[in-house]
Amino acid sequence: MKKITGWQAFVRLLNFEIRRFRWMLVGLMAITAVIQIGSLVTTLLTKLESRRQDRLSWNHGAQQDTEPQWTPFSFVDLVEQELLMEFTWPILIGVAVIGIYIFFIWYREWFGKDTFIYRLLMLPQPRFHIYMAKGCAIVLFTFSLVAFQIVLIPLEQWLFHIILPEEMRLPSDFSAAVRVHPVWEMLLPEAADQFVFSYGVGIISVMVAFTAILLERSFRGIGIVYGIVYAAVCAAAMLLPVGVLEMQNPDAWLYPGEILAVELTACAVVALVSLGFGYWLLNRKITV
Amino acid sequence: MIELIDVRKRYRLRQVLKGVSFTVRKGQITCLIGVNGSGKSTILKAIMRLVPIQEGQILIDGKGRSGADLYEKVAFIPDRLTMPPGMKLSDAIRFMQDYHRRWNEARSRELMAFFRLDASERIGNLSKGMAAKFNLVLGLAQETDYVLMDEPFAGIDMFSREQISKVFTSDLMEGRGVLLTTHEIGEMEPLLDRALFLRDGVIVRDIDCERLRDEMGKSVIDVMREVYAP
Repeated sequence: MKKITGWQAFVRLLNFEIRRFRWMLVGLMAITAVIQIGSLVTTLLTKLESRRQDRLSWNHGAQQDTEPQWTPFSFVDLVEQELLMEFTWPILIGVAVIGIYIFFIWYREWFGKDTFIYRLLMLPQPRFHIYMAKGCAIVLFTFSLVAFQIVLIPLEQWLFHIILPEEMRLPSDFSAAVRVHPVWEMLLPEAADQFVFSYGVGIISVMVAFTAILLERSFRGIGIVYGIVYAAVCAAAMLLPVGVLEMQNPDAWLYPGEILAVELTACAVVALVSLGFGYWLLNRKITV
Repeated sequence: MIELIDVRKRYRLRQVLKGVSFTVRKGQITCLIGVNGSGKSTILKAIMRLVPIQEGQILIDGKGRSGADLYEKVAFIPDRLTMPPGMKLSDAIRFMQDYHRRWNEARSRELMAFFRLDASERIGNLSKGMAAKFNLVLGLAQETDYVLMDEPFAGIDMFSREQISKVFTSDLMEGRGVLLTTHEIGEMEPLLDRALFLRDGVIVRDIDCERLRDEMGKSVIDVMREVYAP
């Protein structure tokens, strides 16, 4: 008899989860690429065509006496002034899909005529692997989309350079491009601690959502109330330290460093309680 | 031996199991009989720890078990095929093989051939009968000491039922303890060793089928009439 280790079993489950969302991920990447590149290319071509028309009119001695002027602009200027919404929509779609997928990743195991949850719960390995595999799948899903966006920005800058002649454009670098777009700035914070904090809060929120889902799946009707109450208590625990202790207020009771420590402790407690509670629900209370 | 001791289970305000106690022995086919909604499936799920119980004990070979300790000893064949519909049969077998140490590949191939199942078919495309057969493959290819089956004949045609019945007399069941629930008693009666009658949340009769037939000249269906007739 072959024996697989707990780690191998977990990796196989994670691989299984990744395979299940791969086409959705590819679809979201395609939507992002098509909308962002499409809007960039059409905007630039429209501008060049309009410039060509203006010059043609001027050459034919029409309305204007002076040669139409072209004000050079950078990729950053274009994104900031004309493509903010076009570049935001695909990201918002991605965020919405991930938000829905956090619930779908669990509920699809129960719904439909072939309830896969039986098979998952009867796997001869710790049930917590199911929780961890689904959690890691969500994290990988998110980071794959972020990584794709990181690849897409230089590609879009390259296209900008290809389409626009040198004398018609101004230079701009990657970090300036990220800073100019509020959503990109949020996805890719410049400071490492901000990155860890933002994604850490995101991961803890996923844990809280998972535990709320498991509460509903364990206690059904009344479980919805338990789940909502649990999520609300966790949200309050994470938001209150910053809200009540007023980090920005110079007259606050505590120093900013101390408030941050309270906040980090609250986040750590919420994460540990969610993991522990999820573990207990999966092992003791879950119902197929 | 699977041993249930005073198992109680409540769904919200409804007490489904009110102190169920019985045993399932290796080498025997035991049938759990009861009307719809009497808690037969709940008992099987409780043994597999798929639903929690409020009180009582469930012991497998003298121990309360969970995780690998339980799922490598007991296989459960639910009343539906529990694999994603988009999966091919070959992928589902691979999935089982990947996780179950006691998966017998040769046996799964043998069963696939016996039931004439096409491994390249998708689960979502299987007919009810084919799905029931594949469900048996997934359960019986595990070399476990006990097999639990929930309504293995539900909603399938006569020929498929005959084919599935043959499995019970084959060496696949040799030495295993089988606990099943079924409404198709006629089909299964000659194969049963014991029958447990569940009514109002408790086991009201526990009969040895051979003795019932030989000494009392009765069938399980006769006892069913006595127990459940209004």
